[in-house]
Amino acid sequence: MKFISITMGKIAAFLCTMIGRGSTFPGIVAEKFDKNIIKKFKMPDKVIIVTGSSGKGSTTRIIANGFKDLGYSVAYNKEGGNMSYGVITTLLKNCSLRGKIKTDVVVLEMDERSVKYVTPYIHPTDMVITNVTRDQPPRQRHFQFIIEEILKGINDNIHLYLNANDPVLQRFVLNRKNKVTYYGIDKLKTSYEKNLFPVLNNSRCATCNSVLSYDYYHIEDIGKYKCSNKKCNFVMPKPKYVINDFNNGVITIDKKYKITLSNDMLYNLNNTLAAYSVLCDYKLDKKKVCESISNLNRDNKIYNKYTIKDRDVLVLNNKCENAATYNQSMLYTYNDKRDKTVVLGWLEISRRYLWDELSWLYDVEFELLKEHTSCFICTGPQAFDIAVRLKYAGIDEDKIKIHKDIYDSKDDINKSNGPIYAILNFDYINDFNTIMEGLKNEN
Amino acid sequence: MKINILCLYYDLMDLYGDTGNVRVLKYHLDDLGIKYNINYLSIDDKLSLKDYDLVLIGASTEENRDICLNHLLKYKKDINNAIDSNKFFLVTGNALGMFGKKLYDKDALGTFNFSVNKSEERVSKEVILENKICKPIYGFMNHSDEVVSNDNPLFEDEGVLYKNFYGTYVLGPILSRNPDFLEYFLKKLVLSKDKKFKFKKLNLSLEKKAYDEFIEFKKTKIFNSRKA
Repeated sequence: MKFISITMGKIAAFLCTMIGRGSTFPGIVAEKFDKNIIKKFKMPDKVIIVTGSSGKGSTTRIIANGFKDLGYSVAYNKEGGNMSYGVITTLLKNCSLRGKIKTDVVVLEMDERSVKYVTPYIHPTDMVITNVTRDQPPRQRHFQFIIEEILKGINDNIHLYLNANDPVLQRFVLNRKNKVTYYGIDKLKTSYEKNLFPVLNNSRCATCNSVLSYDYYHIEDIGKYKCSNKKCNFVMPKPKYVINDFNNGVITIDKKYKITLSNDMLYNLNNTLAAYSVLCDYKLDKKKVCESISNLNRDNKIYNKYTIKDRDVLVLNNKCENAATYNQSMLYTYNDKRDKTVVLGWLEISRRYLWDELSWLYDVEFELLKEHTSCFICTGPQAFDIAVRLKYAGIDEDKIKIHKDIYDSKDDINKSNGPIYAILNFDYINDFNTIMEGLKNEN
Repeated sequence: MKINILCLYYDLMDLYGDTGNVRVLKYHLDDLGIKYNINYLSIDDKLSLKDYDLVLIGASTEENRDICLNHLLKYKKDINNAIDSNKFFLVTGNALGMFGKKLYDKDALGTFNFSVNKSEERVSKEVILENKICKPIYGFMNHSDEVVSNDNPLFEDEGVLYKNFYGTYVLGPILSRNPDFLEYFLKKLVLSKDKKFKFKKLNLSLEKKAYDEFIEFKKTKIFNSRKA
């Protein structure tokens, strides 16, 4: 039976790939033949799961690429199917007819709510949980629910990789016996001591619920924390791998290992360090790991920074309905004290459903942009809703331009001053770059 | 005149942009030249509810709501007195669940007669709610509560309107998205402090445009999705 179902699955995988439906469809077809197919694989000794609200795709890619560069064969779901069907598809494509995975290592990016369906059968050795934040509330409800969902998929044998700077992640280790590797970032030039996200400081002590006090913040509630209750000993755990410095796009880990990044957003530091920790814990050569990650970054320079008519243009890709990543863009923009222009917008809040949820806009600290920005250009179907949010952030209405069609914003962009920060959903980035290309070719 | 506002459980019950409502009120009180004071308090603080004219509470995770309810139960009498003596409350999202007789299997504040069961499926949806006080309310719901025997609905068949208590399962920045409701609510609040207050026209042109555009947008979107 096992032989038949794996064979049928592999045929489905082959056919689906031929018609360009290769990332999850084979898994769906294979499960139709055999609903227990997930139990039929013989996994290799190293199986890594990467999950969390954001950063799981990048982290997975860096880990998989690192193993490959250092001579290991790797199976990973690079086509993006990150629910159980996607996992089945990846495994089908990489197994023998008897279900034995042919690679040395399996690395799987996994949707937070799907982890529990596969971990009992694929026996992960390691799990990276990047973060759990406000993310797509209509689908994901809230962070405490997501924590519960991930916990259902964690057994005592899984080695966890966690960001020591994130107090929310401590909920994964309370009353558990798992082996844990922590990674973290030291105080950097961009760290700050006074909370810049006052209403969003939603994390309290994971053991006694008291308010946390911070030596410094990296962003939101990420930083160096301890419980304010003197009777409680909840503190930031000591990280094994530490970024000590970040300068000119290069991070220094453990005071001597350097990695060049593809962009200098905080999430990129965290994703890179998470991947580095997994690779180095596997006793891979640290220097070679750094080379592998730096090379990958050089190959994947995202088209996010260019100059047009002597103006710096920075394109920051932000998924709607995720206030946490949006706030990274707020802080990043805030740290540039030049007089700026900010372009905001999206075509669709979500492609998953017909609803248009807007409350997350009020979890984004637009207040940080009040100073040093002379023009805000709001674009897209909800351009007026974005404008209302800016107004309530204390931004002067005269500075706000509104265009329901992003292409109509061309003249206002052209007339505006200073560097341009385009904080956009992925579905508007190409359109924005097309507009800028047009401006470059004028005159 | 000075309006005292309490933003209660601002850290544990602010899941979906609920503090947006405070930002909205601040803006318009400033614009009208009315003095105000806003206190942000949570489970570590002592509450003196009689000091406030308006109490705001927002949506939360179920776990955090239980923690806050335990704290609030210490002030059960004070809360119910405040509501009965016409203090203003704006309660959004699942915070309303704390004010019934029972919240799942726990005793709640008992301000109102309804009980709350855990719903079998999560309620997650966009809503347009007709009502008697203003234009239809646009918003979003995301909760796990099933309200049983609610006598005083606020919008359509949901929420609670009792004296100056406005409670709704619509979450987040309801005041910024519904300028008509904002105007109604703000005027009642100000007039409760100063019956003779002369209002200038509220600056709500962006909000009204956003509201109208959103209605148009939804009509087209739903129409197109049906065609597809």
